[in-house]
Amino acid sequence: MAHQPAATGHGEILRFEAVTKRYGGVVALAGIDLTVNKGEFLTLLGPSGSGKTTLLNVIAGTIAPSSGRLWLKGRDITDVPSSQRGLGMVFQNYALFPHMTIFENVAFALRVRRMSQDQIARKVAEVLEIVSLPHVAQRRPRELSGGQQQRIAIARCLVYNPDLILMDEPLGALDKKLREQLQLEIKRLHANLGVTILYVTHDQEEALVMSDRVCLMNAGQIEQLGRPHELYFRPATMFSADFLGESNIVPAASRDEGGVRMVATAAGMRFACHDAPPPGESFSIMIRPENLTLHRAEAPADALPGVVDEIIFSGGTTRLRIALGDGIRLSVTRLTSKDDREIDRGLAVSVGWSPRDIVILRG
Amino acid sequence: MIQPGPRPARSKSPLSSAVAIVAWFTYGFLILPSLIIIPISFGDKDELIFPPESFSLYLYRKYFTESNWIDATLESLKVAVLSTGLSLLLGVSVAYALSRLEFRGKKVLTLFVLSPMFVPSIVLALALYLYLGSARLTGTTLGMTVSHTIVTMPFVVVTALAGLRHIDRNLEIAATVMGAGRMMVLRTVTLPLLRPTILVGGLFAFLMSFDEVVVSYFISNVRQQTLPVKMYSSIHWEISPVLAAISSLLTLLSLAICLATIALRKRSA
Repeated sequence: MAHQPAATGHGEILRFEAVTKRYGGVVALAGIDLTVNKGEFLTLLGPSGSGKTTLLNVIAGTIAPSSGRLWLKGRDITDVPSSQRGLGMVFQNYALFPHMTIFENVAFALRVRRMSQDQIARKVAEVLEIVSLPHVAQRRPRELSGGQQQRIAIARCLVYNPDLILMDEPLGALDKKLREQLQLEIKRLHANLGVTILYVTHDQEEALVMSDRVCLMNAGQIEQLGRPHELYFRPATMFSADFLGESNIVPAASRDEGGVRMVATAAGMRFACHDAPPPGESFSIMIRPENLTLHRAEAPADALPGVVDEIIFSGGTTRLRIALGDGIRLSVTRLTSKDDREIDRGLAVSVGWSPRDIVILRG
Repeated sequence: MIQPGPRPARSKSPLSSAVAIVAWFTYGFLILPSLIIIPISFGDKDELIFPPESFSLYLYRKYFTESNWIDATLESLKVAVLSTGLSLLLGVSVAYALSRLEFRGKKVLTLFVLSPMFVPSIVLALALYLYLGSARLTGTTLGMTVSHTIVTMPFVVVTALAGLRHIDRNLEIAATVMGAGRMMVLRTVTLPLLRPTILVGGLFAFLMSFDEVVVSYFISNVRQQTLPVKMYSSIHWEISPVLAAISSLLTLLSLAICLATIALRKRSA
């Protein structure tokens, strides 16, 4: 194909150009355009079947796209076999070679690259030190715990310095505590070594904790791409708002009053918003539970009166469900305080809010 | 892998006891004739007597010293080793292609490769006799090796396919992403992981070949006989008690091979 590489952006490592994948009539990827920058930690986040794993496999070269091009460091790799792409990959089930020692596992890619014995011994020792497992070189994978195996799998990638490391739900098989520990460890490795990581997960918290940017996927398309903060506080769509974190989503309508566009929600909020959809169009607003405040006395004038319906105490924070009438209920999350004992079901309260925390969701 | 669940409390109902008795009886009925051979083989007369009057190694000595028995045994060994090697080479290659490569006509090839398992032995034997006869290969080690390969290869393919299905594809993908080409992945990852399966398939192929009568009988002639063929023909002319000794040895060989495969399976699991 006479495809000229388009002008590469600053520090671009990988670029998708209208990549699609169809299985018969099923569309797994519907025209993905995406750029991964050098040194970046980009996470593909989405529910199962959203296309994130398919996208990862297209990069790895184990799935050929139906159409579109794929560029790695300015080179068209769409038709380049997996083994020639110079990537690294970490799997959920670790995929360490059970018939080799840890040393041989880590040395594998170096042997493929025909390095000298001395160099291999030095590099393997170095990288095992980096993942804090210098003493396991002569053991077999099955003698290590799941967390240790995954650290070895990461070391196996780091040792040959690939342009891009793909991680396919690498912490999915570990328990919560170990998962959180390894999240921070991977994040630290990323920061210290400057490697580029493309990470796949369905765990939104993991995505928010680890990523420089999150690419939220839904039904084979990119739903929203941005920094974790943007995704959380400025979700572009109903799906984004719902998938990431807890959210209150309330139907709303707009009206023009003397040249000012006013929004009124079913929960009783009224505020001016010049970029709201025009009158007659139906839409919703979203506000995070932690942006709502609970008042018992001295409530602001625009606070919404309601009744405590449910109290969910989860340690540091407490979530309250406030019934506003008309079947509308709002979640309010706040730091737990000792005075919360006085809050009971049926207590009359009011919910404070601020228009600047409200996000308009179209469609 | 499925973990064995907690064992259900064993019920001692009369029905289950009856089933157990019937099962053991059937098992005894099936295995007894083979076991009777063993005491007979320790007899010291030139006829088959049960129970033997005194125990000796006379029949075993006879087997090892009468050169035509040893010749047939060596021929059997040679054919078994050659056909096992050929079966493994072809069978594992075919299984690899069927499970790891994408190509047209895969289903047809599978059916074709496995067909000797479904064709009645006697039909296969006749076909091979006619085919090898026209190539003047009947009565030769080559002809026998080819025939045995055709009989044993489908079993090697089936075993290897199961073994390949068992290997985590991510291991091969990991090796590929790290830069290894197909041949290197095969050499450093797939084949080493497939080794227990290949050993089991090889042992079974060896045993099948060593044990084969129907096809061998058609392909052999007076000068070129495998052990089972010679045993079969000797029944017609002289009911030699040496047969009991040979049969005992064959049983021992089968048992050893079966135990070896069980041990291999356990270790790879």
